[in-house]
Amino acid sequence: MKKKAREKSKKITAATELALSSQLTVLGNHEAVIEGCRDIEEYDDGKIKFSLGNLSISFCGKDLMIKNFGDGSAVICGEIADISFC
Amino acid sequence: MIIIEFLRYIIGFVKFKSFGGFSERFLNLCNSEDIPLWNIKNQNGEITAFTSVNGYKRIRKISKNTGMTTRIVKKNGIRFWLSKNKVRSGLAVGAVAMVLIMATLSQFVWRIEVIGNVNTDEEEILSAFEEYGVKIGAKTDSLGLKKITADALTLLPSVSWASVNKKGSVLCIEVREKREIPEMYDASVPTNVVASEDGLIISSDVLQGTEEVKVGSAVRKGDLLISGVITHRDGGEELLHADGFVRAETKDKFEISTKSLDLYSLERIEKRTDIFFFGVVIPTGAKPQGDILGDSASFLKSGDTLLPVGVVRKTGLKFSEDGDYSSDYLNLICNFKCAEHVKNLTETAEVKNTKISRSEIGHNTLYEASSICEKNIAELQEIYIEKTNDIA
Repeated sequence: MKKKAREKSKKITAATELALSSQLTVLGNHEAVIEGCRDIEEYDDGKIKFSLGNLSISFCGKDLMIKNFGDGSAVICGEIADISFC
Repeated sequence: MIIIEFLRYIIGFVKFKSFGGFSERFLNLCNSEDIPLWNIKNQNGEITAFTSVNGYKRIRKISKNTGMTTRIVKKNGIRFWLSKNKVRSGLAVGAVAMVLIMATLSQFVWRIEVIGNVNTDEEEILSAFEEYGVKIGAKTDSLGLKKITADALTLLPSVSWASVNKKGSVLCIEVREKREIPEMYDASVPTNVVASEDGLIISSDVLQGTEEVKVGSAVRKGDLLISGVITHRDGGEELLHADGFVRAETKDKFEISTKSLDLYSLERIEKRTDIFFFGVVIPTGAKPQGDILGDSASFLKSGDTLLPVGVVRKTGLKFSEDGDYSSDYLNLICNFKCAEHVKNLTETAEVKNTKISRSEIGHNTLYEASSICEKNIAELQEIYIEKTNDIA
C-alpha cells in the first residue's frame, strides 16, 4: 500500500517539475520563445535578462525587441548574438 | 496573426513611450496586472510599446508607481479613425447611401441585348418579351425567365429558339430564327403554263410538258405556253404537271396626273422630351398633337455601356389638306412617283428602257412612264378534272 502511494507521489513530483520547468525555443538567430519566465530582470539596448525561478537567462545582441510578453511567456526578436544561463 | 492584428485594429490600440524610471519593474508590473504589451523596444532607457486602449488606462497607475512618465505616440484603430473623421460624417453617409443605391439598382434590369437575329427586327423581339414583363426597369428576381421565353416564342413566328441569360443587370436575349422551307409544289396536280401578261417570247425553257409557243411569237395574257397534256402515239392522253420558264419582252405603262396627287402640307410640328428612368417614362408636358412619329431616345453612357437613364423625344406632325402648291412642285412630285414606280418594277423584271412623257390637258398635267421589260411570264394554271362514275 505504502509502495503504491510512494510511486504515485513520485509521478506527481515529476509532472510538477515538468510543468514548472522553462522551455526555450530558438528560431535561427532572429527569434526566441521562452515559456515559464517570471520577470524581466534587466532590459537595455543590447541585453534582455529573464528570471526563470532558480535560473536566469540572458539574451545579448542588437536591436532586441520583446514581441510579446505575458502569461509567463515572452517572444524575443532581433539579432541574437549570445544566450547564457546564470 | 493577421486575425489578431485585424481584431486589434477593430478594438483599437495605442503606441506609447515611457521614460525616466524603473523600466524593468514597469514591465513586470504590467505583466502581473495582465496588461497586454507587444513590440516592446528599449532605446536609451526609453521604452516604446503597444497596448490596448483599456490596458493604457491601467498603465497610468503603474507608471506613477515606478516613476515613469508615459506619453501616447499614436492611436490606431477604427474608433480613433471615426472620431478623427467625425466632421466628415457626410462622406460616410454618402458612401453608405451609394452602397445602398447600388445594391437596390442592381436588382433591376438596366439593359436588354438581342443577339442572333438576322431577319427578325430587334424591336419585334423586344416588344414580344415586353408583353411578359421583360423590360428595362423590371426586377430581375421576379422574372420567371424560362416561362417568359416559352410564352414570348408564341408571339414570334419567325423565331425557333430563344434563351434569356442574365449577366448582372443586363439581360441577353439569344434567338435562333426559323429556316425558310422552300415551297414544295404538288407534282401530282396536272397543270398548264399560261402567260401572266402580254409579251413577245424571247426564250423558253421547258422543265416538263409540251412547248406550245415558239421564240419570237407574241402572246396575250392567258395564252397557253406549255401544255400539261401529252398525246401518245396510240392516241391516249396523259396529264402532267407542266412547268418551265418563259422569258418575254413586256410593256409597262404608268400614268399619273397632277390633279390626282393627294398632298398634305405640314402645318405644325410639336415636340416633347420625356425623362426615361429605369423603364419609367416621366412626361414633361402635354402629348404632341397630330400624327406621332416613332420615339427617339438617347441614354446616358458609361464607357461603352448604355445606362437606363435618358430622354425620350416624341414628335407630332399636324398636316392640312388645303395647300397651295406651285406647278413646279407638282411636276417634281409626279416625276418622283414615276421614278418610284420604275424602281419597284426592277424588283420583278429587268427594265430595258423607260420613257417618261408629259402632256398638258387644261390645268392638268399628265405624266406617263412607258417601260420595256424582260421577265418570266410563265404562270401555273391547274387543269380542272371532273371525276365521274360513268363508264362508257
